[in-house]
Amino acid sequence: MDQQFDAIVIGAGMTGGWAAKEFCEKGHKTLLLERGRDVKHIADYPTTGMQPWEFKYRGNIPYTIKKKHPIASKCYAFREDTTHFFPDEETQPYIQEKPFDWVRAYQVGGRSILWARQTQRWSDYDFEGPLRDGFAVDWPIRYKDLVDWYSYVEKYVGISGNKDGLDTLPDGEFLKAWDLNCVEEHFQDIVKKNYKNRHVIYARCAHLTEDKEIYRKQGRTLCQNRGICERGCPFGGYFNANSTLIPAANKTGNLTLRPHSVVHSIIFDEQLNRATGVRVVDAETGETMEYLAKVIFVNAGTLNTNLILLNSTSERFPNGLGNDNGLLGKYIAFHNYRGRIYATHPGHTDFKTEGKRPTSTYVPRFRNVYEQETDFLRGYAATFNALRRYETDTKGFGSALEEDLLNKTKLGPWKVSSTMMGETIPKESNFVSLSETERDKWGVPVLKINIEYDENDEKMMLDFKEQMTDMYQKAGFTDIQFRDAGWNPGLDIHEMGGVRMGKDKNTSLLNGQNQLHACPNVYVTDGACMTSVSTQNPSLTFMALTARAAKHAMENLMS
Amino acid sequence: MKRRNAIRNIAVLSTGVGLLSSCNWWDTTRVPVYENISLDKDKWFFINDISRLILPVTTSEQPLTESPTHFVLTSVNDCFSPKDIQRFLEGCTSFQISFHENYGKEIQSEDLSDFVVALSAEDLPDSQGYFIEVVKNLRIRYFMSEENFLKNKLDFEFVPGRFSGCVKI
Repeated sequence: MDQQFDAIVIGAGMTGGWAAKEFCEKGHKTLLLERGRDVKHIADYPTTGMQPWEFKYRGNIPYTIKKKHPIASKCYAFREDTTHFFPDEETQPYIQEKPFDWVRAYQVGGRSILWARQTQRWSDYDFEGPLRDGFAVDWPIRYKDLVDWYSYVEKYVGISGNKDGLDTLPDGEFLKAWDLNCVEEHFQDIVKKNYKNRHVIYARCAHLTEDKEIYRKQGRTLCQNRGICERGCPFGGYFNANSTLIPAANKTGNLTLRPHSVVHSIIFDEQLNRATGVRVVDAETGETMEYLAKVIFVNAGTLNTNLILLNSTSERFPNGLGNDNGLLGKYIAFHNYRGRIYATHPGHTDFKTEGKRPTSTYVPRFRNVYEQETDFLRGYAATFNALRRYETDTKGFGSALEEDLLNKTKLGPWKVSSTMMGETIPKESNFVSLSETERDKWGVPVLKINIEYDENDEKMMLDFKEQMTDMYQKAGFTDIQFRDAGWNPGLDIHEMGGVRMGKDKNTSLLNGQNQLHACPNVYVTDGACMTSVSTQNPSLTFMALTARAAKHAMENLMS
Repeated sequence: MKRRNAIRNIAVLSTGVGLLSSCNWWDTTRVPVYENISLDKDKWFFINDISRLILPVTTSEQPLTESPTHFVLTSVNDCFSPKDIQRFLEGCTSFQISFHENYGKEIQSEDLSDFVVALSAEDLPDSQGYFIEVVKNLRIRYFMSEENFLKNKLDFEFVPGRFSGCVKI
């Protein structure tokens, strides 16, 4: 295998896949490193065609598997049909200095196989947040810097959505949306009539709802509404790296994909004053090797990207690559998904839905958008779901029970619910670092995680409870109940930061093009680069940043 | 209230359990082996009878993917923690002893149904209640995830290919 490449991309998930595709399609020899196994589109989706009655445990998970996945087993996507997409945690240790549920998916495609597929753009209300509200540092970019890249990515990915005309959540390149259901429309009307700046919209999602040439070329077809996306979709109905980015890069002949490759560190050449390559440990054999390239993209997933950079020490960078200011690993933030609200809608009993829809409705952030309204900073978006489940009486025994199951199973009332998606404030005290004593089986220091909620998060959750209760009451919903899910940070699976972007090399790690200030041929474009986290699901923004940075690298360092 | 429901259920239950062990799924000379559950033939058939009393296998459930009792015991064996398996087995043994003390060695379907229903009256030891709850929940899970039930009662479609938000019933 060649040791020299034009570019090395660390991590074959969503953003690493984007970088590799961009490089390969422009003719650059690219090495794509993935610490987990290969997952081929369709061929490696073993449960995708299985009917419910074909599962041995009918939705239960074997105890031995749960024991191997004590963290992932808390995740909504960890099910009997998906456990094979989560790594054995016994061999992937990390230290929780404070409780943190780090949900990982080590394989080609990464978490893009399992993601919730929600794709909302950021606006300048998000990019200007830190500057306006005085936290973190000012983003070095604004919406105008990313708008064309959002469009570029959206056209390729395929995003189902409506043109809502909201300044807080800019419209994009949308394929048609599915229907809202009766109760969602009802809630939308009530909110519109009762609140000036609150909206209920269709939640934009990465699903194909229109047949276009670009998707046919990718080998994808329309979403078939199966509702089991996390198994991997044989239709390519939703976007993941396996069905699109990796095959596209591979087709060029310029891609070298190397699974089972644990990156130990990035090599910095003091004479050349730039990074020259990476040190890799073969996860299966333990063999170590080095690969060289002009440009290195670090897309290992937020916390692993932090780990790799912290572990990339040299005389020039004794505290981690690019870490002149000592801020590497710090100012990590996430999304607060703890707040939940549930209720019953007594109306619309003569209506139901048919088929399935892989998205919900969405309430964009309305708190503290145009001015500071509360005693906490920033705000939250919320999901809104309305559905009718079949209900049955299982109290009986014997023939009576059979009779109830067979003849009295019927649609229950509409149940509605919302989950908050709160912005947390990046703080220096929320950080990751490397263990000085513990190493994993490949000799890489174990990551220590020190992240927690704060008072701002608690206040925000109470506001979510009050405001959503008010909205639910106005909609006539009954039996309204709030619940604090009590999640540890991390279970939102939206950890971001640690290698933040900024204008000043003294207060940030990356510049406005996602280059390390102190080592410009190293780019970070996964969640680690985020200066703040806003409320939107972040993957779309990560992808746009990656495509933009890849173009910058090719024009400036690879030509 | 629960007692009244229990009595009502006894009446219905007793009509459908005439032939318990005579129509077992398995060869009566052998029973499956479960790695984490030590079960002799007698106990396997006892659990099988309990499972059938809770929810009999009738034509409404055909064709079966496997024996419901085997599903129940496989699930307990593979998915339960050692502590919960222990509790399940203790409940099973305790239940069986209590039953024999009350009704004698020979299992008569009517006696068993009476005893099973009595469990819902909250006056039985915790482990016995746990045992019946586990068997019942898993038995119902099996029933409700069978092809016949999903397709005919829950309008299950594997590949809907559509979504309609407001359909008049």
